Amino acid sequence: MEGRPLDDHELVARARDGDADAFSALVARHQQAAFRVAWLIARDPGEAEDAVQEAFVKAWRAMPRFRADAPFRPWILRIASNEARNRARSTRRRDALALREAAAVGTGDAAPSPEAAALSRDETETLTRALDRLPERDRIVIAYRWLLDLSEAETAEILGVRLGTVKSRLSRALRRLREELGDGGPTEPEARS
Amino acid sequence: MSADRLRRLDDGALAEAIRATGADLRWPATPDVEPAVRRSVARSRPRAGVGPVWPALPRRRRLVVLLAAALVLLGGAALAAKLVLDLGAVTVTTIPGRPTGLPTDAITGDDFGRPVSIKEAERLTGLSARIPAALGPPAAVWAEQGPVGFDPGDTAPWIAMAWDTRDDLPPIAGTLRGAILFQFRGETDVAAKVLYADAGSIRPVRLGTGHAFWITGPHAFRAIVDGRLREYRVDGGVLLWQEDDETFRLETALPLAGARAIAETLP
Repeated sequence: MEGRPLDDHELVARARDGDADAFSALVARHQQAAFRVAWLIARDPGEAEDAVQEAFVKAWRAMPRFRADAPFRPWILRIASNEARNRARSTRRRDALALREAAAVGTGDAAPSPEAAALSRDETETLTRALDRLPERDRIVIAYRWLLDLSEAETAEILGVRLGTVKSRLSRALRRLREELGDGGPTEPEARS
Repeated sequence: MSADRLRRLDDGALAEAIRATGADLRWPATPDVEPAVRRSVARSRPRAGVGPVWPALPRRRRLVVLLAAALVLLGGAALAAKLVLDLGAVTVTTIPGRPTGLPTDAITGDDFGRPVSIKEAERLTGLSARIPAALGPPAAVWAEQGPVGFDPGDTAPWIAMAWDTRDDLPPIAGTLRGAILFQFRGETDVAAKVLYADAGSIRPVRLGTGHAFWITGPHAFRAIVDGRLREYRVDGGVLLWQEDDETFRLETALPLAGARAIAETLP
């Protein structure tokens, strides 16, 4: 494949016809997002890697039944999410995450984003610690939407729920996040106008 | 205090703070799975249409092999069984002891093939989809008129419907589904449940003016889906019942009363 890179729809069309090179291009393009989606659930890089690998193999087998006009990314992320969930449940890996340990602002190699620079390191750690304490349902919807910066529509697709459900879950999850930020114990959320 | 400042942020600002944190997280390095996937892909082609890709076998022989595979699995369980219950299209086998080697995948519908509309499902199967009024329209529907027997004309139609989790439908373990309803027609065994006596139970319960079976505890669900025998793990409660020549299987994370309340709203 030379010249202009093929977009997802073109690669999907070829993969549906059995073109393994086209499918490999899709793997290379989406494996990072799939891995992060899986890691947020499995909380273990090895489990997440296995989940992602299996997700792509399942996707390959199901390619002929995949609608050619549908977006590939939310579909593969959803499969990866389900694979990770199955593995997390079967191996009982529920170690404390993860997010707090990954908080790299001020310590990582890359320069922090301008927005992050507005947060102190203490605030970043506080925020990730509170996110870690949320129930999975709240943590995952926040993580997919904002940590991974997926759209609401993609988040809905991956979670297998309607767009309105994502909106209401996000609202509820933010409320619970505020509760977690209250010294680690539940507090009444602040009234909002 | 940093927590106090964060708590005072409005939703938009708090979301931006989370987004900014995500941009600067030290994510685990993404492993390159492409070579491993490519190796797996090289061993198999995408499966076109309904049914497994089995090269060169005539259709009738493929059906025999498929049925034989099903019988080996279903029959193997039955050999050690205390109890075998044949309920229309679904067989329930209870085995002494605790579960070992249960499948890991829950039923989500993701591998059931292309979702269809209710009308498509009814046209494909000839069934009239029975949607519980308590649940409303399903989030996803799949249907199949799959070959299951020695005779190419021996098919067993089924419709599967899934509802997303919501306030009155807690998530089924391992999924974000709140309820999954299978509707089978006929007596041909297309699905089997394998239950372990020390970990689960099956008992008859009243359902409306009739009877049903209530199954609890971790167990395996095996079904011929898209031409393949598939295995799933089930943790939630399952209500199983028959009406005329149709068999229904309702899975939720609700207690019996909740599942029964849903089942009783079938039209």
